[in-house]
Amino acid sequence: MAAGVAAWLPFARAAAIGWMPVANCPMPLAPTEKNKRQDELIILNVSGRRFQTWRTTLERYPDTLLGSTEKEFFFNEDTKEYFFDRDPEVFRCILNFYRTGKLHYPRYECISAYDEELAFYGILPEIIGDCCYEEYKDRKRENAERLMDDNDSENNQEGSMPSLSFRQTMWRAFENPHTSTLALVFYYVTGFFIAVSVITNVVETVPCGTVPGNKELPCGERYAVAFFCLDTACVMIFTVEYLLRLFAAPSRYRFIRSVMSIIDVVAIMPYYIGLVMTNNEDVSGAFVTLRVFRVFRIFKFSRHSQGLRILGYTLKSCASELGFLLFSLTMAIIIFATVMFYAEKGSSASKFTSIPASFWYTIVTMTTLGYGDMVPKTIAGKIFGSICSLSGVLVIALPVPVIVSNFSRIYHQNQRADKRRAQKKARLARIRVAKTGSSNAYLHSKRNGLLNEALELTGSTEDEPHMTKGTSLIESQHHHLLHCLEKTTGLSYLVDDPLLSVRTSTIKNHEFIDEQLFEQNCMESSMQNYPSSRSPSLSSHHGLTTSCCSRRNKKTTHLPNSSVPATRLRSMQELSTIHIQCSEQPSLTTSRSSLNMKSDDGLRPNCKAAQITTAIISIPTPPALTPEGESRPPPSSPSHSTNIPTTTTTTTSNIVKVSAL
Amino acid sequence: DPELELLAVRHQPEGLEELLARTKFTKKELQGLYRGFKNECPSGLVDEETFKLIYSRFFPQGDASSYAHFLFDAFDADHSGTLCFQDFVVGLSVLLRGTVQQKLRWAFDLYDVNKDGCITKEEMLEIITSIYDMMGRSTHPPLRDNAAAQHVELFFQKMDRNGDGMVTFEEFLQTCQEDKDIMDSLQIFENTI
Repeated sequence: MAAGVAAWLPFARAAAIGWMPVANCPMPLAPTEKNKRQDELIILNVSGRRFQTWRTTLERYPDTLLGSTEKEFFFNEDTKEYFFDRDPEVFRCILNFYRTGKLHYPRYECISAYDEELAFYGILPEIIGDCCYEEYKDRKRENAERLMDDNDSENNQEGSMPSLSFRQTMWRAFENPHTSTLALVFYYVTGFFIAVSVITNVVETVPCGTVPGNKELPCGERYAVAFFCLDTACVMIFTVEYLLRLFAAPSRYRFIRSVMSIIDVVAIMPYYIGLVMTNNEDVSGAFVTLRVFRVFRIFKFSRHSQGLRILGYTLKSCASELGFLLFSLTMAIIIFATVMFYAEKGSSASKFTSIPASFWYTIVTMTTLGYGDMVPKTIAGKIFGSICSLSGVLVIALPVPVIVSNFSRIYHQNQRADKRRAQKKARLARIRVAKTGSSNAYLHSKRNGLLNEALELTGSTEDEPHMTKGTSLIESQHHHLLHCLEKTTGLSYLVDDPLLSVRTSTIKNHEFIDEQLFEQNCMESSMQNYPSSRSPSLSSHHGLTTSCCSRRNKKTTHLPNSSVPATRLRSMQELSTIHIQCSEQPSLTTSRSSLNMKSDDGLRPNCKAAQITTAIISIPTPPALTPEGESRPPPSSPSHSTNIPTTTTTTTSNIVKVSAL
Repeated sequence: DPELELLAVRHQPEGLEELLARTKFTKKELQGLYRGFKNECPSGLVDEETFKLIYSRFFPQGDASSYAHFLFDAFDADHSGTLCFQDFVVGLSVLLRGTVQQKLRWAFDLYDVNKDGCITKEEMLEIITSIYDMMGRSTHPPLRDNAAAQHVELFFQKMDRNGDGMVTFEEFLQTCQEDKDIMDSLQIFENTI
């Protein structure tokens, strides 16, 4: 979009002549180009490979290395070219970004190398085009996970853990049996006992030998005591295990709600309920039923088997497909059962006594089991029966591959969809933040522009270089255009937020001390029309600005390091949009950003900061802000410019972000 | 599908020599302009929708589409429905390098929506409303409903010399030439290219 703005701006400005005859107020002066250069080709020598491009192409994105004066550091006087000792392959993509406005990620490139190059050239990865963004994020995530895994395994192998509490070590032992020998022992012991318990449950019912004079007894009753001891031992182990896990769990409430703990409880409950209940005849039937639940112990194996867990998860995620299969089967069963029932109604001694009775026949036939316990006898019944079995083949055989492929598709798709949704939300939030920032940009620049003119008119030379260096020509021209529109209509722009509306339209930038007096002056001057009040506002602004500029010069250079905490403190008090930007700021870890924080060229960022603090000052707690006013300026520019660590125009960086859309 | 048509027709502009003759730009300026234009519109043509989109980027807070429509008509000299590079550059030449009379004629043609040689109050109201639309909702002071109508009244008081409810080009020219502010404002975009 920045490319779009830059290319069409002359046209839009020329077209503004159409407003002139209609305007009621005189127009503001246009910003002048101090040194208008003809567009020239510049040579970029990247590790020997020469790229050539127009200067204006690079200047489309003034907040990057190539678009700003930062590239002058790389200018080689002898060869009259800019030399970069970097990767020429990646540079190709970066230069194409300037040319086309879209940043692509080449698949063959290593993700960390690419990231480093982007950071070097001051380009935010977020503006990678949609065509390549997903791939970029995937690779990045993979890489991050891999590095994390590597770190983890390193830590494990080293064996030198930071001192965890006893509880935490226990939990770790439970979750990762490979961490210590004791954990491994525990893992195998519980596994063994689960197996023992399941086997005893099974063997209990096997008939083993006859007691003289009686029928065959199942082993359970013959060796009742032995089995009871075994069962007790298993349940002891399981109970102890459950209690230990409960103790070690970091969040007990969450642990209790988890599936595994429910399985544990269900596995051991029957035993305790059996203990509690007496040998009452009435409840013995229920008691027997309860013993069925002991089979759930087999699910405890899922802690030992990764595959089981994955199966469980995929079933859960395919629940809708399975549900649909069940539903369609049910429909078919009901249809055919009804048909068979009415077809067989005529025949005598028919097993198809009712429709529900026919369900069994239909299910057995459709799944091609064909037990033969129920067979149709009438001709109509046989015809419909054959149709039933044929359709059964179709109904069963078709959805199964669909479900299987759905498993894998849905499984991967779920992962990817969630991931994409999360990325998209975060991206849109960042871009939205930049967009709202750009609508503030005009106001800030408006004040800045006015200040420029004021300074020029009063001939104040000391601050002039600081002011005019701030905004780029394109930006000042764009703002001049908007200013002309305001003049034509006699209205003036407001920021969207009602809280800001009154104050920002009146507040000037970089005034930290004596806010109230200053605000008063601004209020008065802005209430009148700009042209008519020019002279009084000039003097008041002039007086205040020179004083505050000089004050700022003195103070800010002392406090580069303390600026960071001040930003964070201030960020709490900011509005939501700016808050997002600032809250992202602490995550900046690139060396470039730290460079910017401590930049010796602290005056320029201060001016930028000044622009931003315009909006921030207006938040109601002025007394609290003023003491730390001095230390505030430096870091706000990085924070406002959506994490691009730059020292130049933050406002155009916002325009850049909009263009990414 | 209009987009398809645009892409299929790759429009080549007139030669550099002809454009040099028709406009007051230098060769280098034309080259720079064409590079920018071609970069943005590889097909060489701009249709009205794209034009509205581009122009709206400059006015994020308001709705620039109606004014962009009038602009499009003003630039589209041959009324072909699309802007080609010639239209673009000829229009720019008038606006940036033309005489005062040419500029005022261009503005007059812009306001004269039906191109009948005189501006009526209805036409002016449309134009002024579209300009106000570009400002958007949140302005200071807040936009009143009759602001555009009042503005039109003001304009006609100034421009309509014989009071017949219409503004001809002569009246327009005369009034503008007598108004210092307007004369000054016509020059402020001199250094645009």
